[in-house]
Amino acid sequence: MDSRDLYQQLILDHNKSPRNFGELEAPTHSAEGFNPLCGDHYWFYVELDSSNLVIKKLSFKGDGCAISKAVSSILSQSVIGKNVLEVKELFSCFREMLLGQNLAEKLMEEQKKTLGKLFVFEGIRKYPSRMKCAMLPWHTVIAAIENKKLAESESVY
Amino acid sequence: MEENIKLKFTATQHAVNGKSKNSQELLPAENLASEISTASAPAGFNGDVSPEDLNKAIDEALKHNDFSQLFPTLKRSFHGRRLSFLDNASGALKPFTVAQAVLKYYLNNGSNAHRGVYQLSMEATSMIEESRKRLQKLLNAERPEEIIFTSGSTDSLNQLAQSLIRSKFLNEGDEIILTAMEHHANLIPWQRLKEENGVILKFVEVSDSGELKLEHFRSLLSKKTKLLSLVHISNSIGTINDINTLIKEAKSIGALTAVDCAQSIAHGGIDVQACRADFIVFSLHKMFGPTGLGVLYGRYSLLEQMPGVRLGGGGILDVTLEKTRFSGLPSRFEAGTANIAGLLGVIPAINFIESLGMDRLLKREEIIINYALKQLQEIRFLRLVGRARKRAAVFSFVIDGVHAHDAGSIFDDLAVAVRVGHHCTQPLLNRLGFKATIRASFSCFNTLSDVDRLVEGIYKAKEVFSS
Repeated sequence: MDSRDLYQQLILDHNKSPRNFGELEAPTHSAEGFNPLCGDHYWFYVELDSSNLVIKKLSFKGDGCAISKAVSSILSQSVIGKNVLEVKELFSCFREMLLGQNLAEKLMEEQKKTLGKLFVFEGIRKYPSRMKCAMLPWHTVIAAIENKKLAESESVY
Repeated sequence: MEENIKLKFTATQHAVNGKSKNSQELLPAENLASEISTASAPAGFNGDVSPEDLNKAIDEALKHNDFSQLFPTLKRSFHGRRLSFLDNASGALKPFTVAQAVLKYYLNNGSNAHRGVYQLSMEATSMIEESRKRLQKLLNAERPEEIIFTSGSTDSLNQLAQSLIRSKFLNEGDEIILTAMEHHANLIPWQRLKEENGVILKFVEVSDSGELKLEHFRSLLSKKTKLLSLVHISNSIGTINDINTLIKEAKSIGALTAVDCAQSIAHGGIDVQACRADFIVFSLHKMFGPTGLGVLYGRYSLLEQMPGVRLGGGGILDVTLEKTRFSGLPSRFEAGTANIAGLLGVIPAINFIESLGMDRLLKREEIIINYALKQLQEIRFLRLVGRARKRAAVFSFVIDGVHAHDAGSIFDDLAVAVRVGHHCTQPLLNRLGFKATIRASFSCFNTLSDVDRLVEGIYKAKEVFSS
């Protein structure tokens, strides 16, 4: 295996200069995500609009490996402007990309379209030990939206 | 019925053998053991390995600098590359003789020990008691009853902490001295005593180079000190602590002493009479033995006054609905069925250590330490975490600009097995200013080429993250 399948340029770039990095001035929701195994530790800040449904702003701060940081950064770009349901659907699509078995070609194409830039993380499929790194930011965003203060990555994949 | 069983035995044996035989040919059960040995021995070995065979195999391995005949896992490759196994601080690979002994128990015995009055069970009992005696000899303990089987160092320390409280050796307000270098297993069980029983924990400080500050230790000693519990060799940064001095000084004021020998047991060993520790703990999987097993050693005169912690089947004299009278040592600490198969792997593990000899083992490791230190220190973008003067072949480091976890995956692509993270020593890494490191830990079967491959991985990780 070549590490370059995992660490594609886009991932390295977002790791080096993460987008939407820092705290929001007036978040309506926030949560902390922590993976005690490898020390990935992030805080996500979300500002929902007045309907409490659409993500107006989202940012994160914290530290962790390149995978968790790049997922945080790219997902932040992907979910701003989306409503809460769409975010959850996007996560389930992301999860399917990493954990789904033998996806049909057609589904792959559809998935690719939905995931957009997030498809760059497809290589993680071959690295089961890194699933948690990729999932933690998602769990943290969803915890924030659901008014939970702390998210842990799933423990079993 | 009997015929059926015989047929099953034959089938099993053929499955093990992996070669076809006339299915009508029924072997008597007593031949099974040797068949199994032959089947599970690598090419070049015929059946059970005699001490002479083992000595010869070790001499050959040393001569050719290749231990893969003894450690079959070393023959594995990943992504087309030979495995470099550098996670020995977590658990050493196993000589095939250990695996053979475990397999043999399941195929040839399988009964419970300490229970039956029939031959099979008595055989199991006597075999695990033999393991206990070999461990006693290995530690130079005075009596076999001082060796208590546990599920590992973690279990040993949990039981020790709970038993010391229940025996009133430790009481509210008593001080326990630990160090800032401990594995979580020698920290959290004591934290629980602090929360639930009001003992006070004090921690010996660690210097920037990763050594214990002896002066600080001395300043903590007082009449209130009831226990010193410390690690012999740091599992995350490799520091070898001067346990003899600390034990001596703690004992001079009447404190009990416990040493976590998880790392040192297979890297220098421990003589309990020479170091005079009251308790020591270690795990068998780090000394080439099976997983899920460990030892709590305690001085007989102390253990005698201590109750068992895990209660149930075994470990009793008599039981009524109201109360129980417990048995003597070591059985009252060993309620429940032991990992018998695993315990039978203890003797071949010790045979391996003794045939190789601690002197030869340490000499090999010293060559690796010197070479690795030289190689690692030459890399400008690498920071070595822990630079103790006396150290074991355990190296923690970070690569500037590369998170340890990312480096771990890149090493894995090169079939170099290292550990990344905090290595269950979060307080120590925090003290030294890190959250996670890459750890490479060597054993006697590693070679200088494993160091070269580690270095190759370091450059590869840097290259990937510089693009």
